[in-house]
Amino acid sequence: MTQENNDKKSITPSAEPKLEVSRGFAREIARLAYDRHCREVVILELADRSPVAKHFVIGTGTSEQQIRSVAHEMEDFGGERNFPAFGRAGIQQGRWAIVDFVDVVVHLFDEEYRKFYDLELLWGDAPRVEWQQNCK
Amino acid sequence: MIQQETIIDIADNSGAKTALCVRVLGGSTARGKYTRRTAGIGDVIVVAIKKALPSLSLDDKKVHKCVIIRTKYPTRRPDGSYVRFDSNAGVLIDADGNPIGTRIFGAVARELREKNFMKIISLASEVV
Repeated sequence: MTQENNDKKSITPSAEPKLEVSRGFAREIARLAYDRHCREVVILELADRSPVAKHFVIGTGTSEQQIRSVAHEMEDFGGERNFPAFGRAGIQQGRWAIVDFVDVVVHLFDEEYRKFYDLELLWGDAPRVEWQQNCK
Repeated sequence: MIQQETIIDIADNSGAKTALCVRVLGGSTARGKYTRRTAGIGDVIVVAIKKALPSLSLDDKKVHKCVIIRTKYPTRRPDGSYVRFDSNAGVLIDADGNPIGTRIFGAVARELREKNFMKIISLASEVV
């Protein structure tokens, strides 16, 4: 019984480091997108607002081919960092590609679709995470 | 559980309000006979729009694809719990699987994530 209680107690404090790990990975993904010429890269922190994911990384690609290749590169990158991709959608079409790392969900849009769906407006109350500090 | 002739609500801002299921996709024989009778959360059906706002951007004389996001019939989850909603509802999608509307109204079942409809989940304000 006491061991169970100890286990329960240990669950609560571990939530914050988990969020920090997810935030760190989202930053790395955002930097990768920026390095591969994605524009207007934004990280939204949804941890308190949605049970779907802790972070959304949103970026605009320059072309369908570029969006496809960046999405594939992110999948490989996630695999190396112990964040295997749980799902992916729209990569073949290259207009709105999603790579789902469970805690971090990456949205790569072309310019038209980004304006059309406007995810930043939908999640406008979510705080943005700074990621450009250590960029080239 | 949605079957042919079921009328469902359209829970997005595409302008369509209700739609009639004309076919459940996802099961057919080699001879082209449709064998699947019912659809649940995360399944794709073909619908004809029955009621729409004047601002509807789609051709309401044509049929469209739709993903089921809520059903009255209880859906079993792996932990043994069930989830059911007050209404049957769906979201219109285009041929590439992108939602036609830009916002989704009401709660959405999280089963959609496993069925790879993350775009719909991302546009929904509430996930159950």
